[in-house]
Amino acid sequence: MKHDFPLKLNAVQPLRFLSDDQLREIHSCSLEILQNVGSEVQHEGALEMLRKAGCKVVKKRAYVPANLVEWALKQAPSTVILYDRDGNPVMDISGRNAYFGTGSDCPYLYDWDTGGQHEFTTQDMINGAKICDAMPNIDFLMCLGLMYEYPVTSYEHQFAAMLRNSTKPMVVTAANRESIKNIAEMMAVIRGGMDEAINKPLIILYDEPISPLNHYYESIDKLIYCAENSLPTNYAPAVMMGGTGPMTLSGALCQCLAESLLGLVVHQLANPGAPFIFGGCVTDMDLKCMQPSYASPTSNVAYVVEQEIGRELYHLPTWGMGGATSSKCPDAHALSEATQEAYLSGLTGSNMNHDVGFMNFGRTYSFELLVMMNEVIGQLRQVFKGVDMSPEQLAMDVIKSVGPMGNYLSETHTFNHMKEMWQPDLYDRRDYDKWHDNGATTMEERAAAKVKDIIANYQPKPLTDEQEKGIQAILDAADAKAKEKK
Amino acid sequence: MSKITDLNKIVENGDFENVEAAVQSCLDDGIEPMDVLNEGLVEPINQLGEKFANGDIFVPELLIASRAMKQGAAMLKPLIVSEDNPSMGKAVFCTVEGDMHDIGKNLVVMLLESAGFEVEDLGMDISPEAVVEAVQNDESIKIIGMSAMLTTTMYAMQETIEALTEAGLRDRVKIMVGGAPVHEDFANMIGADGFSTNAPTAVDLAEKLIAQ
Ligand code: B12
Repeated sequence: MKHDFPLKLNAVQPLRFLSDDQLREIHSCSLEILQNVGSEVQHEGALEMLRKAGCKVVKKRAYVPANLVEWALKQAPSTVILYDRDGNPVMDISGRNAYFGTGSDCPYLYDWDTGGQHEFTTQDMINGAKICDAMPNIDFLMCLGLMYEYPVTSYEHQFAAMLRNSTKPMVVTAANRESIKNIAEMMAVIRGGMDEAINKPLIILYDEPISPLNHYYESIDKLIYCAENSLPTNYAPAVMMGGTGPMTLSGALCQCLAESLLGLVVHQLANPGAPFIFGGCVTDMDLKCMQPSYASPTSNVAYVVEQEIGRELYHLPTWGMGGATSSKCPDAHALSEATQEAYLSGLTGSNMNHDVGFMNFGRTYSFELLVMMNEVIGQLRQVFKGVDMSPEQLAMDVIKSVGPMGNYLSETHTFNHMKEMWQPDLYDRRDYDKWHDNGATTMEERAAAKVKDIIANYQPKPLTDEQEKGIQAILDAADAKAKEKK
Repeated sequence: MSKITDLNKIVENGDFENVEAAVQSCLDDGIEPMDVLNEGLVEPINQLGEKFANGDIFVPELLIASRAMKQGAAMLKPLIVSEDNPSMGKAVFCTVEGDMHDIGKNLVVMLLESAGFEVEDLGMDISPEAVVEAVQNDESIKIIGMSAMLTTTMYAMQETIEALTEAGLRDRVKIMVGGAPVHEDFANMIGADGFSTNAPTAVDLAEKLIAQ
């Protein structure tokens, strides 16, 4: 069965900064790190697998030889297909297909009415999921915020809120094996069984090590759980140049790669051929305010190069960035940084571009930025489509028939193709008087109005009664267990 | 005082190759060890600290200068009698149980050390029991600093405070907390003595708590 996924970058020469030789140079530096510097792996089971596969292991330090890395790279599949809640294939994570989605786990939500921020709540999660569902250019959801009401089972509750309010694929976060297992079971409820949930994945796990070169127990344990159950996962190092990685870009990339590849090796040893999404987030730490800058010029180049390595050298589905900012409010600064990130990700053909709507270095989520970025991504998608060279589009017939000095306004050819032109929703392209007489609003104000409208009026497709019951039962059990532990 | 000015420059530039020679040359000139320490070594760090707090310099400029300062101070230590020793007091720091974020905590620790505090850093993912044990084992600890970056781990701060209370140690120490999801109301709610959102203000806070 061949499905049509229309989100491909159509360009003869997508954006690339490095030659194949240069990509291989970074790759071989990362192999040297893996083999000679070693990786700290805080997980006995993983160390045992590595030892058996021929790695030198000293206490918790594993030294992975190059041939094992090359083996793992050959095992992992180059495509992952995600299915929506109804079971339809909707995302083909491979090649240069660029998908965009939100970010996860912010402690705070930007509050348009006060200009401040408040602790992220369950209601915020529900509202956010509805907005994502309603936005045509947001392809997948991440949970936006961590809900303060559930200190132990927040991950389960945020997944449930997303499931109840959106049919789109999701990238989930989880505390440990138990919470990812609860989440996988909820997915099985949706699909009517675990086998079907594995055949038609709805979710990817977001997982990450601790830079530099430190792989803590939970991150490895979740990775192994996903491998064992053939659930797609990423393993995204967050290297902060100057803090948790070298201050220089190519060096930070070498370290980031070594961290990703250690994850891949463990993952493939646990189950060769299990689906793995490659890529991390290298960003410079602002050494005055000490926060990761996210959409800085250097980070943007880093994201592009990681895509090049993942796609051209490793032939793996890739993880990337799609629209985050260091700004504290959804202003010009925010939209500029978020747009640059999304543009570059699309132009390089990065697959899973997350963090749309992240502000304040990933600490504050903004619905308004999300809605503005939906518009921007729509506009960019028109760019990524490139040029259609079919005879109909070459339009020689109509050029001949109109000839010199005519015009095209009342031609059938124009009429047939006019709706292919990109139409804005939040940008105001009306003439000056109409804009002025309608309140002379800014883009931010229109975005805020849209957010309010969706929260008040949007009706997502509900779960079936049976699905709802199954989900609630898993939540209740998880909450009861958490209480017991206390 | 030009020898002191020279030493200031060397500290400011983080020039640890030359700091010992510069300290020695101050001493050779007959400057009191205490004055070499305060005016020669600590003063430039105070000034850089202020500049960092104002966003005028990068943190490595401060940290590398602190490294030079400490190297010079180590030379002076045996020459200064202990009652004159200006150690600000001892603190123990950690990132709480279940939490693997330690960059912010490390930075606070580094700045406290540059400001003259002695800090025992327990690391990350530290249980309430381990904090209790550290305080029990060391009478001189006056401050506990806890960092949590997750909504799901911030309650471990409360558990640690409860454990300290149960062990009868709560009144012996001042407790300061911080991290992305932590805010003033939360700090008050769990009964901490202070809260701050960044490293420079954390130093001010520690100084205030010690003076109380
Ligand atoms: C780097 C990072 C990581 C690294 C940490 C590496 C390390 N060695 O520390 C890694 C990749 C391991 C990581 C993992 C995770 N992270 Co993280 N991480 C971050 C990130 C991007 C930056 C944190 C940082 O170092 N900032 C720089 C330092 C200097 O700032 P700081 O920590 O705030 O510290 C300053 C102040 O807070 C204060 N301060 C700090 N401590 C103290 C203590 C005292 C006593 C005082 C007075 C002051 C004080 O002073 C410091 C210096 O100015 C933040 C986002 C952000 N911008 O905060 C997310 C963030 C904190 N992480 C988050 C999450 C969700 C996770 C994961 C759960 C993701 C996952 N699903 O796997 C895991 C959790 C792992 C675990 N069990 O702990 C969320 C937290 C959400 C929430 N509501 O709880 C955040 C906000 C990002 C997001 N939106 O997803 N993360």
